Amino acid sequence: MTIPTNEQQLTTPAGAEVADLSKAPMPTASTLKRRRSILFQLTRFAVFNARIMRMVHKGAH
Amino acid sequence: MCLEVTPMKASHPMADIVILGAGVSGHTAALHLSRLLPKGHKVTVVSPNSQWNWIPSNIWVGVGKMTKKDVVFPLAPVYARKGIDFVQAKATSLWPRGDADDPRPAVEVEHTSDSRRGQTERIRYDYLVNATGPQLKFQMTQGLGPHGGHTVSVCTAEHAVDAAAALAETIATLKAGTPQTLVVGMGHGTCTCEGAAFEYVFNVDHELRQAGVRDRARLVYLTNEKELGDFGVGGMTFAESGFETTSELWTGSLFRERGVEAILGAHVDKVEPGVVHYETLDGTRHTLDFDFGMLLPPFGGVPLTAHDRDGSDITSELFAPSGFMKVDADYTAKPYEEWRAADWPKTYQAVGYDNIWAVGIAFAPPHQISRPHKSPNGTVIAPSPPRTGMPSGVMGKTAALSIVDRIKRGPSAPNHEASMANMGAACVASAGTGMRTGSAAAMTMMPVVPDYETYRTGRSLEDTRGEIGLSGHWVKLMLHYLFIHKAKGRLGWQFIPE
Repeated sequence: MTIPTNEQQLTTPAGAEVADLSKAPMPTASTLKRRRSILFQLTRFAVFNARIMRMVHKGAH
Repeated sequence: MCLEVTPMKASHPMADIVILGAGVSGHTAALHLSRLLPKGHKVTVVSPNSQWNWIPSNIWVGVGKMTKKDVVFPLAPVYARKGIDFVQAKATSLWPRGDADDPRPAVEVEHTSDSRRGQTERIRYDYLVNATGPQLKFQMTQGLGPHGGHTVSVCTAEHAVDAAAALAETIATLKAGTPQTLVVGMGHGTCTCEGAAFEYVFNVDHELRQAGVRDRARLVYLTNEKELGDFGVGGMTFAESGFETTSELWTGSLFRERGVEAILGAHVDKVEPGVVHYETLDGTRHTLDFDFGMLLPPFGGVPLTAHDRDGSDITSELFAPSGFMKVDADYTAKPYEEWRAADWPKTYQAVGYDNIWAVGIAFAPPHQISRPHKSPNGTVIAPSPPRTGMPSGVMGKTAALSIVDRIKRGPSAPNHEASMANMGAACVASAGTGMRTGSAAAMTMMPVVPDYETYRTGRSLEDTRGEIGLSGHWVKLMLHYLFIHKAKGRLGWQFIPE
């Protein structure tokens, strides 16, 4: 079986010591706003907890 | 393989169950056993620590946002209320076939409480759960750690208190106008728990911003992961906005946004005052000057020996060379391409003994989850598989249910199963505190061990998700209170999932 691997995107250029993060996507202003929006985050809170519970049930523990 | 079947003796109709360790897995096992077993059976927990610690919140202690008191509580009152015997001691040797005096299996312990420190005794058992957790092996890297080394740690609540004090000093120096370099990460090429270091670095970033000194600080994440977002689980593929993306880009985005530098694929081999020495995957050697360093140690199994009745050493029968206990996993050495989800244990029953289970960090994983690498110099740089938190609790409960069935239904009752290849986990990495200003990178993955025969990307795209935002902080805070409530065995604790 071949285990698929994603090509590394954020590599360390030759001679450098730290990784080049310039290819990492920067969040847009609206994304940053959503991350702080109480109303939007209340929804994400509910969704995240629902997902955890679904995983618990799928794992049948 | 010879399986040592140890039925309950007729002269011992009530069972003695001994649990080594009172961390997430051992404590969970003890609570469920006390809940499910009829009266008369004896559950004994042996732990060198008198307190239970909700380790994920040590991160907040490590930045001064919580105190030690917020994350620990004494075990004895909880066990007294639940009818569980508590022995404050560390296990030193197993006698799974009994000893010269008694054919019943036993575990030898050395007391650690002030009143009995150094005294030893052998505790007989019918069933044993090894949940001893990790040995923090700071000694594997010269100069690493808070015990005579030059870096701090957040592995224990006490370590985290010291880390917070060191961080406060660094922030004070920054406020005085002196630039500082802060390095957070992994203190050895084979460390695990990258998520904890990831979480700590972003909490430090948050604290520096709150203090108004971020612009004077160089913040570096130094990790053994070849790629950001690996987390010791080989990274994840997320489906987002109709596209598949990687945890590498998702994580990298946070690093770029917060201005945290990343040194990847690093094996730290020495720490001197203010200098980290490390080798990277290309075989080159480097140094990094630092003013504040929080580097996690590699984990090993808690040192336990095993003996036959005549005292001969049978440690290698039960334990892998790493000190972790061998269980129902496929330990055949094979190349990465041949690793299977099915290699991972399902029941956590020890090799050769049907009355011993090893759960949480105590069991020997069959192989890494993340692809292991070696530098051209032969240095192994390979994150070890995480098996803490949610999976740990599930394993503890699974062992407890197996024991309960064995006692109630007889020796032929099948073991319960909970493979990490069929188990999800949530990792909520706080990136700053505050009910309105906090943030966290919250991930779920299903399963923890990728199963490429079932899922094209190794994991369910439906359940493997990552999101960043304030709600993650709320989740982390909720988990803090929920799990402490659960660990205290308070009303409804059993309904809170592991």
